[in-house]
Amino acid sequence: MKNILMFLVAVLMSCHIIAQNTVTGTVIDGSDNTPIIGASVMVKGTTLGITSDINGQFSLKVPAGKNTLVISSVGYKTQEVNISGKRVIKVTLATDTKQLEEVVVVGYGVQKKKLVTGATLQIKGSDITKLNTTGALDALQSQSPGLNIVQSSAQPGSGYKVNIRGLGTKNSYSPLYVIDGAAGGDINALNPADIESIDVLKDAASCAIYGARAANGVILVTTKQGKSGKISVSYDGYYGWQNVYKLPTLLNAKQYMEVMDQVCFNQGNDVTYDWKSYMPASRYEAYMNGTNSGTNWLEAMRNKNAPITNHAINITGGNDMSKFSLGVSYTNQEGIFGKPVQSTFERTTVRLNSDHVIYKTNDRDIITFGETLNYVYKTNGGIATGTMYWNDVRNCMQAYPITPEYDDSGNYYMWTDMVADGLSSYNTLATNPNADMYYNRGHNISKNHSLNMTAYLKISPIKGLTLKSQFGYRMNAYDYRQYVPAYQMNQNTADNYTDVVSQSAGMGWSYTLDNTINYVLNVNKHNFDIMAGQSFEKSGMGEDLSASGKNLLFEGWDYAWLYNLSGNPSSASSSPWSAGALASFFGRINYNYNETYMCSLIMRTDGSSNFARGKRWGYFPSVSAGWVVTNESFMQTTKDWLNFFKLRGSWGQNGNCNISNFQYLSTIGMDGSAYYRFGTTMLGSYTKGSYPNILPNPDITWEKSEQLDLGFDARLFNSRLGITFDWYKKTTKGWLVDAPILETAGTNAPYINGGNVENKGIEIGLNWNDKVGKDFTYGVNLNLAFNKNNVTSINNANGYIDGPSNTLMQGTESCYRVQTGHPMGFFYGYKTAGIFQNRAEIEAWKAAGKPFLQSSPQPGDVKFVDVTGNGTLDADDKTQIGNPNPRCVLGFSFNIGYKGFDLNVTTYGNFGQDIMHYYRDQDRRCNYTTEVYDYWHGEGTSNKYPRLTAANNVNWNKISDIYVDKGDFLKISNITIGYDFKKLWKASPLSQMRLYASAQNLYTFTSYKGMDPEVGSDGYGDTYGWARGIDIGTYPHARTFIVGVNLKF
Amino acid sequence: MKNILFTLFAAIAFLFCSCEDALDTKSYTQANTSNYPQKLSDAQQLIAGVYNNLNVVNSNPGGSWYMYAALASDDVLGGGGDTDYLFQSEDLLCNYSSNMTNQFWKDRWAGINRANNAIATIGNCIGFKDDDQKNQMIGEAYFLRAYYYYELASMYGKMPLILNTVTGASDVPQASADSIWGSIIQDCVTAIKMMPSKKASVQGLDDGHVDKYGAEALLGRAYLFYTGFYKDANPINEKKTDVTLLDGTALTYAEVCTYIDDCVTNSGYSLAPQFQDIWGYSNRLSKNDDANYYMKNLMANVPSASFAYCEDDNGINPEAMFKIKFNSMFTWSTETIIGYSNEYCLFFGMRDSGGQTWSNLFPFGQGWGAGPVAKNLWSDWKSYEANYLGGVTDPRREASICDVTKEISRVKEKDFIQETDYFNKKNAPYACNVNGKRYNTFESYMYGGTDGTTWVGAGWNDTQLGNLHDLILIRYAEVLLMQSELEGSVDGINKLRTRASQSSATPLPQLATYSFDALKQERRFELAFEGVRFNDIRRWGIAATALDKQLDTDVYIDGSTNTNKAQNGGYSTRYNATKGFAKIPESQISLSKLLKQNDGYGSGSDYNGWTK
Repeated sequence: MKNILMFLVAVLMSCHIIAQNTVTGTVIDGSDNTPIIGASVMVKGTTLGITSDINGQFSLKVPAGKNTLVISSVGYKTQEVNISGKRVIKVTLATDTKQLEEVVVVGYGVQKKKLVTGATLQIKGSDITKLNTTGALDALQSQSPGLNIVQSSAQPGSGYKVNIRGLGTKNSYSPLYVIDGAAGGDINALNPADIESIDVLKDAASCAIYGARAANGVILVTTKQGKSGKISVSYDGYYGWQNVYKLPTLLNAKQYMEVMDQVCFNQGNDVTYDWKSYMPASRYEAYMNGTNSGTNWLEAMRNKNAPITNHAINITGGNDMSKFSLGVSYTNQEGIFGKPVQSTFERTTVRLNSDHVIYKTNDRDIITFGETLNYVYKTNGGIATGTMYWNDVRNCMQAYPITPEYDDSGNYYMWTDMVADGLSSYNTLATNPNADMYYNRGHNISKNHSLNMTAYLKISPIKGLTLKSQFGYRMNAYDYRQYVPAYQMNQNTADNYTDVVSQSAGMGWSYTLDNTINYVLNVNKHNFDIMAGQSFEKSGMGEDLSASGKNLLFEGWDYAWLYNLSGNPSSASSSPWSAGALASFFGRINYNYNETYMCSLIMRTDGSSNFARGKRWGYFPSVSAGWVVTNESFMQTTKDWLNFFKLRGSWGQNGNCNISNFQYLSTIGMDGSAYYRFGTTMLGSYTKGSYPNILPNPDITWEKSEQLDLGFDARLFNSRLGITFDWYKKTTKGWLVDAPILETAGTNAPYINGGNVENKGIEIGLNWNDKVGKDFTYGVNLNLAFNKNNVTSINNANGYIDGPSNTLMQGTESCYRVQTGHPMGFFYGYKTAGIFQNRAEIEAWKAAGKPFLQSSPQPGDVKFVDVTGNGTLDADDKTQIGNPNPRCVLGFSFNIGYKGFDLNVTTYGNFGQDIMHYYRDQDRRCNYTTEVYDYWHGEGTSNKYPRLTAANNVNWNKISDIYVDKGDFLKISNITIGYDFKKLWKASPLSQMRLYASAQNLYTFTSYKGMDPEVGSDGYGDTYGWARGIDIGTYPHARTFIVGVNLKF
Repeated sequence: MKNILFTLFAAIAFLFCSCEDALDTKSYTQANTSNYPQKLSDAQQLIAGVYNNLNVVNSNPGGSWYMYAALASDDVLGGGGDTDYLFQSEDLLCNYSSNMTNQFWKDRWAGINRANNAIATIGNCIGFKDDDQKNQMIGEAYFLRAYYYYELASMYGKMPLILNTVTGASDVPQASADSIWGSIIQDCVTAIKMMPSKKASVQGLDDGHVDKYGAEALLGRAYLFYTGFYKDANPINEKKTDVTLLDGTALTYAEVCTYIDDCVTNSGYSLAPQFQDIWGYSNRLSKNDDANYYMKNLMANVPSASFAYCEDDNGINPEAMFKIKFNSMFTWSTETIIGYSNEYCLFFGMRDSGGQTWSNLFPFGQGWGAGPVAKNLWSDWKSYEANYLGGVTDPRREASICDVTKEISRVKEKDFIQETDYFNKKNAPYACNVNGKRYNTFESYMYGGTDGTTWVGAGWNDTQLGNLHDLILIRYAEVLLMQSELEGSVDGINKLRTRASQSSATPLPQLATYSFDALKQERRFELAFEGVRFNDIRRWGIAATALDKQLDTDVYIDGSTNTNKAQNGGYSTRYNATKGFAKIPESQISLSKLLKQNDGYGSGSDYNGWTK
């Protein structure tokens, strides 16, 4: 490092100096009185100048007659100093945050914020890191109107569902992520501390520059860039404790036995349970007299005070020739569930960004190059979350409280214990769910390496003209290892005599090459910024390999390697990744007149390998315009309170090409689903088979999204109040959808361009920042987004596409669908009109000619509504019974600063959405939550939940609105209080010594009775991305308390 | 500088030109119709792909024809747990949910698409050893298409008739029963005429390939059902019905008899020595087990017979003409299918919803309890012995049905609808004990050894995936009975009685003169639970009466003593409304502008749980 600095200083010293009066001086940062390195010191009206050294000092010979120096540095307000008669000066530069704010990233370039004509949103890295989340998206939730961010599962390391301005399509609804100019990266892999800013392009006009893949919006991530100036080192670290926010109350052993007896009674069975025969007398006694309340499985699997830690070091520095930014971080998080094999997440990142000037003249950098490099290593291991068949949280909610977790000798209570106690004759689900989790899912680790890098070369041959070529490379490699020990859980389970090891690994890469040419031309007050470019991307070059086998020579997780198998692997497979390519040409003209009238024209064309020749190319135009009204002379009168007002409007088209390849070909499958075993060898011998596996669709092409956006930006009252408003209408046409076809076709349906959806909404952003007196600052932020989603067409005969059956519980029909005239993923089922309270109500219902779904209705049964009014109840009476999409998303935060103290409160809310929840299957005598006591048990006891019955009852096994609850919530997602000890210890070599404490997910205001109203799950393992709000027992968000420090040298 | 600019523009221009090439991609895991099939091995793969559909349907056996035919018949009830509405609905000829049997409908159509594709393209391949090899292969495709249509037509009545890969992509109206059955029978005839007159094994083909004689057997089955059910052909008086094939040509009664005679005489298939040798409980691992009450008792009573399971150690059953073969290929990955193991075993296996320990059921393994045997079958069988066999006990009764109270120590399940004291032995999973260790399926030990190390693939010792023995779909015994029925001869019946006598201390009497009544009884008992009874009672016109005999028989509902009460109006009401056809999946009706729903599926057809 020292050598580099010496060299840089030497370079600086070698500048031409014309001997005149010598002025020496020091440039100092006004905020912390530290020297500013690399500040430019120019003699006004000349090309003479120098930059400050590592001590912020400079020495400059000033020609006679020149009395003014201009001192500037990126991030500071430029200052002019009169030096007449002075030999030594001290210059204090004030930081200029506003100036930084005003540049936003718009794709293949930046633009002054006040000139932007589209609907974009910028979130600064500091606003993300201050919330101390492990991933950036979590922090965006409350700060980005128009972005809907939910998690399907809050298990550490789980992904997010993100959509911008409502779900616009059925299959691929995620926005395009562009990290440091390279499309397609993984934002979850970044440590928030590495992020400089995130820019969200929401309207079609802004997105159009990414044409082919921009239909769902674009999120541009810029990692921390080098800054010229002194070398700055910062360390941010925290440690936290996570706990369950809310657990449903499960029945204890005694309550469970009572409720099961009640079920028998209500069913009219003459069988009752002989509980004493299922357990030793002493245990039964203890359950009954309350000395033992049985096993609360949710408590048993809890990982109390699950730790979360994060350390991040960032170093930036450089001068006007070379700048760098280096970041190293480590994150480690345990999950709140899954003990003793709790979920884990560990991430290490290394980032190095730098920019270098190769050749410069006095006023311009002619040739520059730079690179960004991001390496991430992640490991995680977890428990089952997904469908109801693969869900440890649900397993624990369903398991019997009468089953002990451990036997008398402290081992897991297993099959032999069940047989000995007689519990086995109650039901095999008496299976110990924690043992099941421990053995079957407790030993696994997945490791992931990813490398993202870009390198660019920029040439500016003449003033205003820039040629830039950027190469981006992404590599991803993973491996997974799992071990299942031998065990005997119940008499049916497989592989109970031998242990099993599975391993898989894969590696792949992709690259992008972008070339752009940019010309900036200012003629009088006419300002042009013209860009044209070309891009080529190739992705999905890679392969997977997997194998598994059983019977290890050395037993145990440590030895679980295929190498240690006593024989050969019992299965092995490998396959290539699906390769694809995208070629693009694009251009943009930004024009403004006197920064008052702006317009922008964008055109992009893309060719995708996912489509056949002739259907490949798509053209995506856009136009937008803006008018800064406050620049007009007639607005002078309002200038004292209305500081800035810009009207904007935009229209554009974007595309989506995200489908699997070869949909246009009539392909022949030769995979494992077509084998047949001829011959007399039972094991392993087979003839490979083949079959036509798709009806080809040679016409398949782009999905198009069109959007109109009108809005304004305003700053009022001395710029203390900022307002942003947008109205939009987004229409997605020709969805890429695998719509159901008639099964008589005998093979798979191809993707077709077959559906339209409309999203309409408004977004409001309000912020107020002010200072009271000398020391007290405060700010308030409010974001509101309203969206209405409506499917306007599905291009198949029945006009709908159903979700899967067996989602909410075993034996139920599909509970959500996409259908013309309804929002995406709306809940679908029977409407109910309450509960029959008594015989008279049943008779009255019958007398009114209303039908029943029950064959012999009784008091306590559900009144299913004959929606069609035709006197019969059948599938036609099923209708919309809920909407999982929030009508309104709110983010509200405020912050206070006083003499080194700071307080920040962030809240986040969703309103108008419904949740469908149920935590158990109807059969197998699963345990209940205490909600069971709210079920109808006599006249007037409940008008929503029917009487308690066993599985074979229509009250419970028809999907109806009894499962639908209001999902509105407001979460206090973050409260942070901090103090900067620099204020106490001014002489410290550190420029910042902030200590803080923070509470995340502190409190939720909601009427929802389930665990967590923030339900992103489709109840089906995220197979149906367009569906959400299905709570079958999801991994809930933790409540976390954190203490941390921010140190800056 | 100029050079740089020039280079850049040249590069852009070059990229533009080469874009189309750069955007072309190639699949490394799939062929496509432009380059496939071309050679013999391609043709063999295509055929394997058609057979594979047998496994595919077996992956979800619950709503398949084989399951439906069993449960809907008068011999078994529905069974299953409180929420297994599917089994109960099939027994009751009712419906539940909008798409009760959609999986089967979908999967069988996939089989037909594969067969259509094979029929259309195999002829283009080169490299066949001789024409026989090629014709045998195409004949197999015709046979399988006929078989798949046979199942669909039996289950749904009228469906679209799709005989090539092009028409299938569009909405096709339902064809008439005459066209559908004309096509099924014509496919059989085509297969018979194309294929060499040699048993598959004689041709050197691996076990599992069907041959000309299999096609003759299927022809007999289809002919009997079509003429019986649709033409009301009474086999005594008007059995000499000719049928019109799809292409308009006629197939005469005499020709059908010739085909069946050919099959009986020339096929090379023969009966297994003992009736018990066909079923897995006689496997070498469990037949001598002290806990195998039935086999121990049998061997003590008939010491002269030496029982040996035909399929012991990869053996081949001499009377299996068409069967589904299984393997341990299943893996928990997306590409393979669960139906590579015998899932019918699991479904028909004795229900264990948690109440049974292993020893309670031995030598049978655990299952889900579909199709408890109706008590009327047991009692009818006994009266048959009294009235037709001169009081001699038919050994096939206990060889086919497990008398729970006598043979095993089962306790009643608390989650089981329509449980009876009788279980189907033919389709059960069979367990074994070796050296004090219990194996959930006998195959686990027979092929996988003590710890499963030699078992390639998944499913070792797994009750759900470890059943690998064949499921026989057409047995030579059935052909013998077809011959008797078609020609009014006693030969077939007597051959089966002779075989049954091998495992009986007292021989069964021979039938002196043919009687239709005796034939009907013989078919019911010899072929019980083998998927033919339901179509038999339908074609003989006795379905409504026969089905009602299940009413009010003794059952256990959730472990309590009860009787099999009428649901949704009762068996005969439902049969008369539906003629035994299942509901066409509603999703298909709503997706099509042409498909019409079957009769009997209006209001009152939805089963909403057992009413005591």
